[in-house]
Amino acid sequence: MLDTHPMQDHDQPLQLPPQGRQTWLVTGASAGIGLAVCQILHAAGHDVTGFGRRQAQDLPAGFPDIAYHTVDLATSQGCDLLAARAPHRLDRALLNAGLGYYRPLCRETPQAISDVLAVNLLAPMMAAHGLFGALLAGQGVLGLVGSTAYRGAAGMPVYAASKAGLDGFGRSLRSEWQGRVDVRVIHPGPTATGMAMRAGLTSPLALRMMLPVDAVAAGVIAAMQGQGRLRQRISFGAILRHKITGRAA
Amino acid sequence: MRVLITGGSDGLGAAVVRHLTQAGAQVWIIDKTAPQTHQSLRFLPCDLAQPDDLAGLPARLQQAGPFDLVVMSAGINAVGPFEAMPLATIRNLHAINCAAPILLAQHLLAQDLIAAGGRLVFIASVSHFTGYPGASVYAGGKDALVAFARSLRRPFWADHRITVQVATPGPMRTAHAARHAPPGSTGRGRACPDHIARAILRSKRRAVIVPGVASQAMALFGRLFPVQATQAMRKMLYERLV
Ligand SMILES: NC(=O)c1ccc[n+]([C@@H]2O[C@H](COP(=O)([O-])OP(=O)(O)OC[C@H]3O[C@@H](n4cnc5c(N)ncnc54)[C@H](OP(=O)(O)O)[C@@H]3O)[C@@H](O)[C@H]2O)c1
Repeated sequence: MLDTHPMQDHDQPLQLPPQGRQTWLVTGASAGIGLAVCQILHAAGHDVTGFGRRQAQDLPAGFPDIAYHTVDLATSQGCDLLAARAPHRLDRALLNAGLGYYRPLCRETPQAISDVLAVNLLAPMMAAHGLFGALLAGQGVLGLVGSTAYRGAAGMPVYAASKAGLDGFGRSLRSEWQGRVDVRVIHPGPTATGMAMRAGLTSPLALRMMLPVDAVAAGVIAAMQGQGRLRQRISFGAILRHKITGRAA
Repeated sequence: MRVLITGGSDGLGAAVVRHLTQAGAQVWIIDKTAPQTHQSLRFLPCDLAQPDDLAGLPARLQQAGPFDLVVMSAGINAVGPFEAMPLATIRNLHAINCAAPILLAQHLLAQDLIAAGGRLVFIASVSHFTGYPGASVYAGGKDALVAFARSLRRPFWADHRITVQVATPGPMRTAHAARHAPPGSTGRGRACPDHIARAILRSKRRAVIVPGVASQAMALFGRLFPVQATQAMRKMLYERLV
């Protein structure tokens, strides 16, 4: 359930989608959902460029053999660097880096609030801006990773705000870019990555109710393929449906 | 009654201030520019785009509070195709519309500057229900405020007896709206800010205040037909901008 290396338990090799080899950009590639996405994409033969905050020497053991760049997306320099290091033509850009804390506003600090809003909301806006040309060239898909908390969550108000901002931004941008770049917002439910524990969630029941990271990563990839709606939620139901029908949420 | 309002010098904020001062409230205004009327009002100059300016506010407010009503009305807009928007504009929109009210709420709470029994009101936009192609960054920031207010509502009531609300006004006859209307727009159908201010001040309980009939109609349309509503906004605004 808590396996963070999804490739180890896939017994059959993943097949290339009918579209063939794709060029992907993934932020938050160094851990959690983003790492699992990169592992699956790399094993399927896609060309992936990953971005994460940590240095390359600190990447986990199972990190796939893909291009990796260190950027701090809480800073404007980091956002500029992302645009500069991105491929010039992209089929898929998945803006997935994010962080958050399970705590009420009275236990927040101004620095943490600014960082969560910067990484989860401002950085994806900056990245979308910087990647427009590459996505246009590839007639690509821009995926914004939100969270089911986007409708509001009493336990994590700042995180919920950042993800709602991403959802609202994506909704309007999808309309602006229609016919040029396909914009989607993907909202995973609680997932068993290190994030929840780092975020301060310790209840064993809550941790057991979490979605397995490899299934969420597969759901995210599926949500980036084919004709897609604006919003895609990744929940137990959606994962089950995907397993049965092969279609995204 | 003691009131703190951001963006009280102009537009909707100024209308709220007019109503409150007529009702005898003591009003403190946080804004970049001083209010045109009511020179007697207590005015705290502050650039909400600067986190350091923001962080300095609670100390300047210590003597004035706690406040019975806090209204986060300061906001800016910029319209145009997203990919052509200068990065500095995107940063500014994010800092003023989204980060500043969230940071200020945290500061006020940490310093006990909102009175028990008081109200904390965020001003978002009817774009929450319809989308706003041509102002995607603005739309995102406003949606963040709606979710933030929704998230705070229960814990603030349970822990502090503070009522948290968010209002989603539609187009108003303010300088802000006139600057960002598409070329050729007559301003017809825009609500009077005084009317909207009154509706917001009167609605003391609702979690989401949709003030005025025009924004109620837009919200209903957006709720029932979200895709068509965004498409209609695209026709009305975005397609006239490009
Ligand atoms: N886990 C969940 O329950 C859950 C549910 C819904 C949505 N999500 C969303 O899914 C996305 C991935 O979450 P996750 O669970 O995989 O989280 P995670 O395991 O904590 O991984 C987060 C990733 O984001 C990167 N990151 C964080 N801050 C950064 C910064 N300042 N600059 C650059 N990169 C930064 C991290 O890089 P380093 O590790 O190198 O620092 C890491 O690669 C996030 O957007 C999250 O909000 C998660």
